[in-house]
Amino acid sequence: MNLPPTLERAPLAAPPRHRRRRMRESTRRALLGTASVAALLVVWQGLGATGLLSPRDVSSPLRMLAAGAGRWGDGDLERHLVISGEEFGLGMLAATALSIPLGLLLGWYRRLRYLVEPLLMTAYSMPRDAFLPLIIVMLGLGITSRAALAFLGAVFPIVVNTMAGIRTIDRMLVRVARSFGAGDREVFTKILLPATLPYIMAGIRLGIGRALIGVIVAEMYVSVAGLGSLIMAAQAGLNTDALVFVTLTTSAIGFVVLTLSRRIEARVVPWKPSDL
Amino acid sequence: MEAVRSLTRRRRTPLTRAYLAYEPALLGTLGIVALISGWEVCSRAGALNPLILSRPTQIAAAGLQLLADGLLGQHVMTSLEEFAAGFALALVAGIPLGFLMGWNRTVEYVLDPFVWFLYSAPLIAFYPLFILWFGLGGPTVVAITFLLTIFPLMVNTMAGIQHIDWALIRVARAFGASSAEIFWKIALPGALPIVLAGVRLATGRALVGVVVGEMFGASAGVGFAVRFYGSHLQMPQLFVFLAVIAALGVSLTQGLRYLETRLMPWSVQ
Repeated sequence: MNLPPTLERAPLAAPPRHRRRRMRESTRRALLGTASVAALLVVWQGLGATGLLSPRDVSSPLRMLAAGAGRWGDGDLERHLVISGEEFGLGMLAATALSIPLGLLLGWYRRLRYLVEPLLMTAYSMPRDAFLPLIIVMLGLGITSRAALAFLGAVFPIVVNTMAGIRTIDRMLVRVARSFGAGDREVFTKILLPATLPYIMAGIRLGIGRALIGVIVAEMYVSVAGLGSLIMAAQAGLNTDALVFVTLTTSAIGFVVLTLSRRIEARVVPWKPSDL
Repeated sequence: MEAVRSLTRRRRTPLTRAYLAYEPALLGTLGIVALISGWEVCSRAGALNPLILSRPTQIAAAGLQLLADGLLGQHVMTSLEEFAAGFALALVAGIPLGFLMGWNRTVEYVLDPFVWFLYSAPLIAFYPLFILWFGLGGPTVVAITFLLTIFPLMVNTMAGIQHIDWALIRVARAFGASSAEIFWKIALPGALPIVLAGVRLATGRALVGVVVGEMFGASAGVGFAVRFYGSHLQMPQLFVFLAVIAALGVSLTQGLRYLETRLMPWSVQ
């Protein structure tokens, strides 16, 4: 079975250089990056000013910030942010609690895996956001169905990764440990867990990405509460400034959450295989 | 312990060996059959509400009806067209851009902040903005598919180019290889596995883009059908389209895996 491609930022393949040379390289990266972001903002602001594009269509950085300041002032944004966070947290918690034991079992017991593998891989490779209309019929429009979509998004990547992780374990290690008198508990904590944890963490990272999408899709679809509903409300009001602001804020929050999870992952499993 | 026992060589009868060769397929089929028949039985016994969860026989009947009406084919064709358009645009733009980023540091540093932000952000949030720009319907679905697809392609193409073994290129040059030869014999085969991993990742995202896009602002396609039948509480039809979406997901993934093994027999999976 193929591992899901979980590509990390690739190390530069250039031959190693002097420390000073590398310092300059990272400065160059920071400078060019900042300059290009600044250039984009200036062009974006300029487009509206020159009348090439109407600010009604594309907004502008300043108009967007003004709209954002208004939203932040009345506490509206925080309230919806908390709701989105709750949905995401509930979905991720349920997904992690269910999928790690399930993945461990499926990875270890061959026949059990054969039994569910076609169903599991089908669910894994389809866009599970399509279940939303069904979930709404079953669970209504409340927080449960929005958390359920986050759950559905996250659960399969974690199961599949955990299962793949268990399968990478050299069974000979387990045999050796057993013949030296290791009990189940020791085999689990000393061999299974350290070998599988990088895969579980990679699965959780993928799951976080899917859960974020699930929360936003569900909120935009149901449009009752949460950041997704703010996006839809701004669109319905044809308020481009607010729309651009909330869209970019939502994207930025997703970006920050995923970047944090990458950092945490690198901390927790420094022995992670480089191709994971 | 089963796992440990399986390591020790046992004498197996030919029949056992034949069974073991087909065990994954047999047990997999058993799992699917068990799910479908369990669903049907529970539904008939009243343990599952057939008005909400429908039942396999009703779904099959609805599927045949939709097939006969031509509605099924129509929605699938719409989705496939949007998928192909969005994906093709992303390939045409993303692979050259990723190539440039991998080849030239300055290009990489300039595009880097945008690419990494947009690669990790939940881009589906841009959908309402796209509706304002492109209106409801096909073009918006294509645009969101493009947006979701292009970044994995760019990032992986860049990583693929950066992973090329420079020692190989130097050796090839020392032995008098031309630039064209270096590209075809070293750079391309070296980068292809990572690029194709990006294509596989992008396919999954493109399908999300098409289905979710159609759920929000379209009047045709499998995503629209799921929303339509869901809001009309026509559950058998809803399940038919869920099955169609699952089948699309599986066949795209399997098709790409086949393509990967055909295109690069040298890559060890």
